[in-house]
Amino acid sequence: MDPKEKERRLREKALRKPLNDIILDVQKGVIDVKDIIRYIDEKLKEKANG
Amino acid sequence: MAKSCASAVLDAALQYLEDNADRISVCEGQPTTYEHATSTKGVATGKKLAMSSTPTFTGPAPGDGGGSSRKTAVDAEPTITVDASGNGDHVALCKSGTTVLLYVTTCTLQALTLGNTVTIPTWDIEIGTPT
Repeated sequence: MDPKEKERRLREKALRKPLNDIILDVQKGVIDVKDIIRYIDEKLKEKANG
Repeated sequence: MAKSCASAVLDAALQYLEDNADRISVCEGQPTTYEHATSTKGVATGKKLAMSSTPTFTGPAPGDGGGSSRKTAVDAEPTITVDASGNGDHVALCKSGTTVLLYVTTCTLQALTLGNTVTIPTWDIEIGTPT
């Protein structure tokens, strides 16, 4: 990400005001590299089949 | 036989997310399309309860899984205004220009109320070492 754009977004975040704020509990996303390879395979097959 | 993957390969995937994600949303139910993730619940097929256009990332960096695993941290997204009441249980990252749903993860179900705010704390996306 462009550092200037990141700075702009961080500034915008800092301006927000909480209202009865709820804090989520987000689960970490773990990707198996095999999933990526499988996905690339599927896309290549799709492309080959038009 | 051992398998391996250079960190640069995994970093490229994570960097793609960092360079392209410009929306982060909290959804009720799993979003499987861009419209699900970005249209407010009650509008067409929308599942979005809250959305911010300021996602930022820190990384890529070595993953917690060891080996060549890599991760990027999605920075905290504080006090996003809730656009529709509902039960938030998914978080999505999207690219607005080409309307692509990039990444979806789950969160512990939380009831959100229209007009209040919701904070998404920092969380990681990790690509594991090949097994």
